[in-house]
Amino acid sequence: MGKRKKKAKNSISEALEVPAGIISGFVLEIYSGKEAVLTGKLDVLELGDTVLKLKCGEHEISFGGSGLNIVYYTNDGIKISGKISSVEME
Amino acid sequence: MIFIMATRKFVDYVDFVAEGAFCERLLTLAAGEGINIINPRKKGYQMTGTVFAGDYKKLRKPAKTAGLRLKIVKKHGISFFLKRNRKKIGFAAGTVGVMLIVLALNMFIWKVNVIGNEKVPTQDIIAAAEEKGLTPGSLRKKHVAREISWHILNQNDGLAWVTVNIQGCVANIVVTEVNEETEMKYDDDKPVNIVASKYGVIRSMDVFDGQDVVKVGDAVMKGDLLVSAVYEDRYNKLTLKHARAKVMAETDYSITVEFPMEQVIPEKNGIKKEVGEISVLGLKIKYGSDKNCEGLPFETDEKDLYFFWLKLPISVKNTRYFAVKEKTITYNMEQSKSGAYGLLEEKEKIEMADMEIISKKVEEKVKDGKYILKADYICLMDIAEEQDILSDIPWENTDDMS
Repeated sequence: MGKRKKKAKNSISEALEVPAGIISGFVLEIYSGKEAVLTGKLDVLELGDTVLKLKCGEHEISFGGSGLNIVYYTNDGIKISGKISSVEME
Repeated sequence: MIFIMATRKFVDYVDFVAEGAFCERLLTLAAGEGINIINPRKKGYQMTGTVFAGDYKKLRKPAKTAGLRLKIVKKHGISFFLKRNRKKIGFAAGTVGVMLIVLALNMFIWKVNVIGNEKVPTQDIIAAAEEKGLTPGSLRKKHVAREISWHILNQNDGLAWVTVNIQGCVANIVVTEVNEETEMKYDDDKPVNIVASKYGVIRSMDVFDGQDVVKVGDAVMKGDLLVSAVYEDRYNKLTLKHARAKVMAETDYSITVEFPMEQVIPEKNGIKKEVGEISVLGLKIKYGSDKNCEGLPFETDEKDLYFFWLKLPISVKNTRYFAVKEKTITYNMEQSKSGAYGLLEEKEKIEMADMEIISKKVEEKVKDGKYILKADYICLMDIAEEQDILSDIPWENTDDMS
């Protein structure tokens, strides 16, 4: 995403007083370490039982744990279930 | 839960396996195409998942782009089931046939039950319902329950309340009978005296209306006045009343019974004929003829048919007619005596139900082949009898004033 475009989106979210991820990027919700919902445009980089790597825009998000699996994966987001022990963002 | 299971049986979907190096790319590309891969799992260079049958064809292009080989593991759903079994047409036809028969049978009344009656015969209630068309085999939807219940109520005086409930294929007629009240003797349409119906000695008197002219201990003859309708009130005015009283007197009574010592009794001599009848939804089909069987003793048994626990609208009735042979039975003295005393006991129960027996003397004799008993009783009985009177005194119903 160009720097100008990114700056514009951040200004809009500040003006509307909404979290930045609503307008651009992604929104991550984790429920009791058993479910996670990521809303946004993303790609799956790695799919496994203990690690799940996703790329969302410029960010790379890694979920670590056990029994991880994708409940649904659509154009708008993804839902992950399993025992989530760590979330890393780069 | 049941809905989910049913959906999984009917909706078409396939389990597939994708083999290749970049399985994750398939997910991204499929999501971009709007294809939802359910429950994707990766193991080594293989990824398994599930898609709707219609989406599987669309999945080939993203799989090719990602350099993966797709293979179907298993197919689920009604379309695949029908395709696999398309040659088993008999099974399908049978299933459809049974469903149609069950649907068709569901449109009719299979059974009519009557609930709640004790004194009013069930047959009378069912006959009244049949007059309004409520019979096994009739269409369920054509009945108006309220009209049927009104008709049954009008046809049977012994019923206080009737309701007809059609539940599924069974019609239940629920009734409540009338409580019989004690007959109130309040016949005030004419003045009457109470006279003695036979001679006796009065032992107790209960006078409800009128003026008593005898007292306890008096001996009276048949026709003697016991309670007078002429009544003098406190204003010394003569009025007439409908006299009412219960007068228990000690009197005599007799019963004579005869027991023939030689009797001809018809005896069953084997089955002469059997006649059957099958009833299907009210339609009766008879097999066998009951010609020349009039007056013969018979036995009937009726059986309903069941499919496991389910009662079918089919019943079988079997009537057996017996041949009759006349048998002459000769009773000895002991047997005749016992038979005669049995008859006497029955007569006592009927004729002397309201009497109290004080003493009984029985005379036995045999005459003309019969064992004869003559029983003489001293008993207490109600000798009060109403008798109309003709009088110049004006009749005035003063019951409300007295």
